Amino acid sequence: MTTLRPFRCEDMFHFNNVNLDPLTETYGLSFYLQYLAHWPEYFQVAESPSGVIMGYIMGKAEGHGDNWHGHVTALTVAPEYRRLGLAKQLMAILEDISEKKRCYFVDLFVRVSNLVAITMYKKLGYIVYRTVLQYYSGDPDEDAYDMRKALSRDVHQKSVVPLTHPVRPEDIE
Amino acid sequence: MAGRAHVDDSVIERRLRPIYEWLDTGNNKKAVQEADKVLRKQSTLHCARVLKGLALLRMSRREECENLISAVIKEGPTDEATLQALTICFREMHQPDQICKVYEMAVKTEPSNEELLSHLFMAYVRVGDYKNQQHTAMKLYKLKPKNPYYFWAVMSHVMQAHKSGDPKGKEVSLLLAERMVNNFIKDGKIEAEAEVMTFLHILETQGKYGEALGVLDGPLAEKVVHQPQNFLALKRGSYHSKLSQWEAASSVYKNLILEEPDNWQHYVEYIRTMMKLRETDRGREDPLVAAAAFLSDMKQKAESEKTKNRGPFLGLLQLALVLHQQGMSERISELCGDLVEILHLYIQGYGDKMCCYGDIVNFLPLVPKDQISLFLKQIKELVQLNEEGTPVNVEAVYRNLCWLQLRRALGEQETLTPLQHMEFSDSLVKLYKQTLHLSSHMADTDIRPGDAYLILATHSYLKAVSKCDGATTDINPKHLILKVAAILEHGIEISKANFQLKLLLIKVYNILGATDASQTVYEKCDLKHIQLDTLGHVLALQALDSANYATAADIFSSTLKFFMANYKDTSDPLISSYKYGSLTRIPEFVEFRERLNNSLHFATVTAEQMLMELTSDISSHSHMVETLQQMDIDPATDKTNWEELRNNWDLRVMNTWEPLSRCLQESDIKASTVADISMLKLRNVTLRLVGAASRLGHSKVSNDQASANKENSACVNGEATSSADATLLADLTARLEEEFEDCTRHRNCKSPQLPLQGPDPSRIYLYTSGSYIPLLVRHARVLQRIHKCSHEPAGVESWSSEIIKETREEIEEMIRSHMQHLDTLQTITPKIMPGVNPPALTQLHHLAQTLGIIAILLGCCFTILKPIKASVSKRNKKRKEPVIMPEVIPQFSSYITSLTAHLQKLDKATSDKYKSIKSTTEENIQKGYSSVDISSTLTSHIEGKAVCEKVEQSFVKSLDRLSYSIGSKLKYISSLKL
Repeated sequence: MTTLRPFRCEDMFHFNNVNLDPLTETYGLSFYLQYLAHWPEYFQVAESPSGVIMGYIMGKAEGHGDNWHGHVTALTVAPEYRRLGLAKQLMAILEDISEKKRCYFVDLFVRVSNLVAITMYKKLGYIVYRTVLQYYSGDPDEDAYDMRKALSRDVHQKSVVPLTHPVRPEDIE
Repeated sequence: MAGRAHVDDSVIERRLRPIYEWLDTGNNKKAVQEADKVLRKQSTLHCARVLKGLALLRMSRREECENLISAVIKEGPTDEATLQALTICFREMHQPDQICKVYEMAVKTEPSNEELLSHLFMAYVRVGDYKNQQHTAMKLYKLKPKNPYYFWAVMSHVMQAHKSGDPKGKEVSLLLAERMVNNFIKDGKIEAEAEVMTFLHILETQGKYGEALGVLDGPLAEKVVHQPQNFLALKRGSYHSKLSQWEAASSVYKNLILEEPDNWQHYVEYIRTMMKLRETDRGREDPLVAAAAFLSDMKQKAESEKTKNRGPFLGLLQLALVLHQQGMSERISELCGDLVEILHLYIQGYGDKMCCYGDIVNFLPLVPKDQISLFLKQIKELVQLNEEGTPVNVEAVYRNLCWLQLRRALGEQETLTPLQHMEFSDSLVKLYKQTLHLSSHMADTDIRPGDAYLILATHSYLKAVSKCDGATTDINPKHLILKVAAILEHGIEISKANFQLKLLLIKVYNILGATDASQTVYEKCDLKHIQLDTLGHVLALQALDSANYATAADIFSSTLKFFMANYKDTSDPLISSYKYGSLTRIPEFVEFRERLNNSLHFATVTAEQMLMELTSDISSHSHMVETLQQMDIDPATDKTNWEELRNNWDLRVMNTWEPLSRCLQESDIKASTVADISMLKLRNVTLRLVGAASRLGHSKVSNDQASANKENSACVNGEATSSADATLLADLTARLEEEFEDCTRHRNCKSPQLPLQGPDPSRIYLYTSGSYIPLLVRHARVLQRIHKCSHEPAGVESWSSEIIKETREEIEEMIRSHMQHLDTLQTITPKIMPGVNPPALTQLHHLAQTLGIIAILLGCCFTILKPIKASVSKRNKKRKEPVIMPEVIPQFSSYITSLTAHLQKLDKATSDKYKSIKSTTEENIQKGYSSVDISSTLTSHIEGKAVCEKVEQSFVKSLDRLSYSIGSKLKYISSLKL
């Protein structure tokens, strides 16, 4: 009951019902446009039958060698469209494209306090790969989980062996 | 390489590094010092000089920067570091065209430097010079035959086509682009997905869908590997549709539905193409029967498989809706079955989700009128209530809300009396309270399921207020609105993430004229960047109109900052599109950038910000002249692109459950935009008028200096510009009058009542209903006349006293009438209409602004008359005769004297009002608002008190500000005594 399609610039004129949610950051124009310019296929939006934006996903592919991976930069769903499996559908697109790009894994960062999201990612097959200390600045700073899911190219699941020690933000590639 | 004489590159790099570091950390002073240190060792080093310039620029020493970098440019630098530094300088000076020039020169010196050429290409991208882009790309390709360079040239042709207004030129550019790609295909040189995408884009733009289908069927399609699963199928479907190949198109969409049963766009397109197929091909089996059968299958499958997919349940309803819209309602029951039953089934399945209403709202017109009450009864029965009639769990809350929303949307509450609306709202607030415990486990980041009770209740309360019209004594609108504000404040405290409650509360405070209170909620919304445009209707101009200038200035400033950065922010992504090959995004980016640049809100805020600065605090003519010089006002031309102005406000963001016919219509938005554009025209002409007037005052001064030195030929020039300025002022005065005449339909008529989620009524209604503009016109005429007399041979003798007399009468009348508005202002305004901000405060603000502009115009008169008076007195002194002043001088003086006297009265009245409201407010606070009944089942008297206090304090602040503004006008005008 959703139209999934590539994000267009004009969507920014009416993505307020998603972005007014306090957990969803509204970035400067260049941020969105750089993603659209660099990884347009990774920026998808879900639209309701009446044309309301329900949520969207932004991502990218980066890294060298066996670190070549898909990354979820932002995934957000408007409050009234939560718990309908929308995030799952959006993640599926991102994973599918990452497969096509021959990535080894997909990763994402999430606030350690965001239990709802963490549970959902776990259901989708993601594991906590490592903890990143004080990744989110604020009062106080908050740690992030770096969560990962291996893709088919990583036959031996080498990318998803959890680290035993937390890392600092400056140590992540 | 004069700039880098003999020193090793790595040494230079090491020396420059600290400068970059200081620049990065924003310590520009240190950067200059460091650059000087390097330059002492190597005085000619280009890069160090440019970086020093950059640091100076960032310290607002633009002229020094310009001197430094223009000297470097003359020496023709070609090294990467210097050119990059120059690029940054010119970007920050908003002169991207200069970047092209710098690289053009560098390329001339080193024509086969690939890197320089590619930078030159990007420099052209920044300014949108597509022709030069294309030449440069071809040079690059000849130098290094890489595919991307070739496609940069192709895309440059495409962009030339997009830009071209001439259809023939468009066609030629696109044909050229197509031919270039075709040559490449023939030679088997196509490599990347981006190249195929570009080709499809070129074919689509030309409407060559057959050829595009050919691409999908050919080997090129295999290059498209990074797109989502359905990408090629969707392209195929759309090409078949464009070619009216309905059978092929519908079969593509049918397959897509089977593959992605929850992707709604496939249903819409499938049904559309099947309808078209029916129109064109009547020979075979009815396509509608086939469509209905397929959709019904999908539904049954979804039912039996118990999937989470909601799409299949609504396919038949979409078919029914299209039939209904196309006048084929009689076939609905045969094809789609019992719609009410389908809807019922859907609500049974998904009524416990927050989105249920939104899913089905489009289909509500399909419910037959005579079945509404039965339908609603069935929906009500789905809600699980306890013996007290309260929903038993979260799911039941959602179901209950869905039923309430449907009741409203299906028109069941249309005939309620104000009192019934009140009672209904009270019951919703009670339900909210009774069900609150169900969400006690929820995180702060989640919105509470019962929040919608409060939104529904607020809508009904406001309806009660707007319907009661003072007829019912049982409702006190003032108290009721305060009560609503307290309820919403309470709701926000509990459900911190709910922006719907916040937007609604801002509206409520705006209705009261309490924009200072609005601002506290506005801050919680944390609006940023593009939201300052799309949500500019929430709070910006309202703050201005309620004389809350500090808030207005804050919001205006961040809004303008966003828009000013638009070109810079969108240039880099444009360059990236070329770099990363997402060429088909380029036209979209350019269109997006233009849409923002032509934003009506941007243009309005720009004008209002300048007018506010010119009229709110300025208390002397010299201060005004100084302020005006900082502004970019061109009296001769208005740069607004009127044809392309766009209203980018997002007016669908607030919830509504009104019947479709009562919701905000596109025509409402259009009408309000037209009215806002008329307002902008008035304001822009006013600004230009101020610009022209002040030139007139000034040209007189320079003229005097010129005539003091008769040898100086500038005398002639001075005369010439002065007469041109006079003509300009006359033109603009006439223009203002014309624009005002054009506004007759907004004048003295009630502004339309728009739905709550719509924009505020246009400001033009109130503004043009007062005599603000006629008064500006009159004063502009006075200035014109004075200027004319001072220049004509007959001189000041030709003065006619009539004009001042009329002006005086009119302004006195205006001040008098506004003193009455002042009287009607109370601590809390008694006249409250939802959707209408309180007029009295706004009228006083308009008065203050009008007086501000009048002061400027009179200041210009003063500048012209003062030297005349001085020279007459001097002449008469020499002749030792009694002083005989030309008539205009005593008349102007007496006008200023009488105006000053009136302003003194107004000033005193305003400041008295401020004091009285302030003391009443303090008293009220002390007494705890015991006389106001503002508690509710949800909110305590203390919460109500807090709201009253906020609202009244906001009023006190506005009046303080108004009083200050009028005081400064008094000071300004009284300083103009000759």
